[in-house]
Order: sequence, then structure tokens, then C-alpha cells
Amino acid sequence: MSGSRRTLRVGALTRVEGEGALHVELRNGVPERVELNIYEPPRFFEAFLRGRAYTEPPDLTARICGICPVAYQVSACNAIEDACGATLDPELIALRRLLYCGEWIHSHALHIYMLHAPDFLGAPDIFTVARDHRAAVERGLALKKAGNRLMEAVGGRSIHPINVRLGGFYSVPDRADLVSLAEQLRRALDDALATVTWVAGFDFPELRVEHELLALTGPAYAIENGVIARSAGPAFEVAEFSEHVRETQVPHSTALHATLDGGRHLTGPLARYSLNHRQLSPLAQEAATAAGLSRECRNPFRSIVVRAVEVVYAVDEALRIIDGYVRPSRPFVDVEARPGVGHGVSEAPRGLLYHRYEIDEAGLVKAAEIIPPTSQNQAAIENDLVRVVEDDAGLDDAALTAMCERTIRNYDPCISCSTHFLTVTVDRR
Amino acid sequence: MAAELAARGVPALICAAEPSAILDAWAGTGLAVLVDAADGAEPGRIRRCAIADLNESAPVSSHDLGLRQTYELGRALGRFPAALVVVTIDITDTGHGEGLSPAVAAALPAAADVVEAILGEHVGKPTDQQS
Repeated sequence: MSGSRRTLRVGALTRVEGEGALHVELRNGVPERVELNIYEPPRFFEAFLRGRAYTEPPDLTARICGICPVAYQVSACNAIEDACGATLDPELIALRRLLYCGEWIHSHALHIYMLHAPDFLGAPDIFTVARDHRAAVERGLALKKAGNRLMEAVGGRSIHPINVRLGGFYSVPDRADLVSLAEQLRRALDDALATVTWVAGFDFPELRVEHELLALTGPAYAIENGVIARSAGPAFEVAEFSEHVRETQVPHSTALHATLDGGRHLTGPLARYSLNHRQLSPLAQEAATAAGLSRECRNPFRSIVVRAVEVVYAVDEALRIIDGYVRPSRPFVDVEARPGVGHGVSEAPRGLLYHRYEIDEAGLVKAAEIIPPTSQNQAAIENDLVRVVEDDAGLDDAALTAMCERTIRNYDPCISCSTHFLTVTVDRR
Repeated sequence: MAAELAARGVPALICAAEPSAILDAWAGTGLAVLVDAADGAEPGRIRRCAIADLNESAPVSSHDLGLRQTYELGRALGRFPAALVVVTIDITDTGHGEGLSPAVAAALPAAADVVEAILGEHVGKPTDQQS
């Protein structure tokens, strides 16, 4: 292969969400061109939101993604409530956080067990893992189910919840409804801890990335809101987000690429954990320590461990919220339309999700901007791919291609969100 | 559809398109009839097929498993019905809005007839895997 060109192509990436491809060209074993090609058609959400009522974006944007609709609902609500000057009652914020815990549990469990674990077990898919590791997969399904039930209890249904509205919820659950769920969550906590132990035993390729880390931070481990923290600079307010994070078009992708002050950055579990690990519950911190994680994790292959720790936290946090739950005196606060601009953020399972809306005097959306985590992570993913191809250029095409796909799956990318994944080609010359 | 079947005394379970819920519903079942909407050219058209006939070429993604993949997972875990029949009703209008289009709503009694006929076919018969 040395002295020659080599091309690796993956026409349709698997175990990722959406439609994408990978193209890698090597000359004399050195990566010359590495492109994550997202060819899923752009979905023009920001364009068709214009002219819609200010109350509609939470439900409309939730349809961008079937796996993280709560993230879209919450970021949209946060932005429009900001534009309209509304402040939620603390009980309603807690309920929103509880709903979001359900989404974290179900999304992370899905990625850990069905999409990512096969990479570490030498299996082509979840079906092979299910045959060889039946008890583990049953545990994953039980965890996912607990997350789904939490979403049903608070959001009305597990996929595309229907109970979220500006200012809170259409209706709020009785304490008895949530207390009955707590028993299932206590079992889920055991499953979550067993998950950390299970994934901590995997073998992880060595890789340390130096991307700047970007995540929300707040009084508690940031999920449903916060200010923006970064690893190489001071935190900044949500309203300043688009001054720092800019999206640009690249020729090889229908998804926009985002940069942080012109540089590459990473959002998602590694960033959240590294910037906020001290805010994890004691139980989640113990699990992280027992799994061999230090205070910072910069190996994307270990993201499966961080996700497992975050599941422990999300279940633990859900139990804490339920334990102190008092049915809110009102299901929502009024959010009256007023002209202005609002910014909203939240931590989707795969990273920071930003929304910005401009509302006109008639209460209609005049402009909308959505920056999802996958478009923020694309430059980091492509940089990781270069590193992996450099380190593993001696592998044959099939093995190198598989390694590249693993590298992408580390990020749990959601291509449907970013177009608003994968076919791989490797070209060795 | 579930209401139509319930009115006829046929037990029906509404399930989210999500594997853990579907596998729970299937576990230990002798015969399952799965009724779902299908993207088709003739709204209200009713079709019957085996799970293997579903055109589900998409790989496993983070948008959960499709029905064939869920069935495959169920087989791997030993949680699948002894017999499974799929009944689909074509829909064309998937835009925003509540309720069913008139053509799809009108097809529900006939779809329930198909389900009852399938149940009748299987009474007292040994089951196969994907009839």
C-alpha cells in the first residue's frame, strides 16, 4: 500500500441516525482527504417555521428527531419563554428536568446497547449481541423501557411527547402516578450501575483528542438549561451563543459545520462529564471512579462509559425529583407573545442544542435558528478520523473502514438533526 | 382500530413503535396480528403479509428498530409470537392534523374483519412462525 493511493468508501453508515457516508483518501499511507458526507436532504425547518405562531415551535421542531424530541421541545420553549419574558415556577422546571431524564435514559440505553456495544464485542449488530449476551441486552431493554415510561408519565407518550407547552405542561401528573414509577426506576438504577460495570470492561482504542469542550453548566449537572461553559475560555451567556458558534456550509455535506470562535469543538457526554463531573450525584461519581474514569475524559472511544455514568445520574436524579415531588399548583405559567428575540439551550443526549427565535408584533415567528449537536461535532469527528487513519493505516481496508465507522459512532451522531449518516469510501493511492 | 376490535371482543393492545414494548406484548403469545399503517397509493387499501415481506432495508439506526428488526431481536431473545401476521392499511396523508382521513376510517371495519378471519384460521391449528 505504501507509495500508492488508497480509497475507503462506506456508502451508507450503519448504527447511526440518518443518511451519511464516509470518504477517506490516503496517499502513501497518509490521510489526504477525510470527509463525513451527509447527504440526507436538508429539511428547511428554520425556513418553514417563519410565519408560524409563537406557540408552535416546541411541537414542530420536536419532529426533527424521534430519539430526542424532548431536547427540541425544551430548547424551543426556553428560547420563546426568553423572548416573551416568562419565568417558570421551580416545580415546573423540575418536572421538565424529570421528563428530560427519561429521554437521556432511553436514548443513552439505546445507543449503548444497540448501536455502540457491538463495536466492542466484535459483533456486526445487536442481533448477534442478543444471541451471545442475552442477559445484557435484556438489561438494556429494561433500562430503555424505564426511560420510556418516565416520558409517558410526564410527556403523555414515549415518542414525540404531546404534553409539553410554553410555560410548562398541559397537565401535570399526580404524585401517586410518579411514586408508582419509582419502583421501576429503582430497578433501573441497579441496571444502570450494572451497565457501567459491563462497558468498563470493554477494550478501548487509545485516542486523546484536544478539541475544545463545550457544554452547559448550572447549579446542577446541566440538562434542561444552563449557561455555556468551555474548556479554554470563560463561560458565556446563552444570548451570546451565535457570536461564538458559527455555522458554515461545506461542499461535501448537506449539514452545516459549526465552529467555536473559528476553532474545532466537541459537545456531548465527554464535554459534559469533563466540565461538570463534580455535579454528578455521589452514586454516579462512585460509578465513574469504579469504571476507571478520571475527572476528565478525552478518549471518544470511552464515551460509552460516560454515557453509562450519565444513565446512572439520570435515573438517580429522576428518583430524587420524584421523591420531592409536589404536584405544581398550576400546570403552566402564561407566556404572552411580545416582539423580541429569545435564545434557548438544553443538553440533548448527544450534546448542546441551541434555538433562537425572533417573534414579531403579531406573535408570529419572524426568524428561527437551530444549531444541533451533530453539526457542532462534525469537525471534531473528521479530525478524529484523520487521527485514526494515521494511526491505523496498516490495517487492511475492511478493518480500517470498520475502525472509521466506530470512530463516528463514538459521537452517537444524529444526521436527521444535523440536516436539518453513513456510506464510507477509503481511497488509497 | 383498537376500539373497533375491542367492540368485537377481540383483545387489542396499542403499542408504541418501540422494541421493548412490542417484545413485551409478543412474549409467550401463540398468535399475534400486527396492524399498522402503510405508506401506499390507495388510502384504505388493506393488505395482509408475513413479517418477512416487509420492505425494511434501512439499517439499525438510533431511531429505533423497524418491525422486521424488532422481530429478529425477539427471536434472538426468545421473545416472539409462535405465529405473526401483519395487516396494513394504506395511508397517503401524513400531514399535521387529528383523526383519520375518510377513506382510512371507512376501511377499519373491513380491516377488523381481516383480523377476525386470521384468528379464525388459527383456531385449533398448530402455528408456524410467519404465516
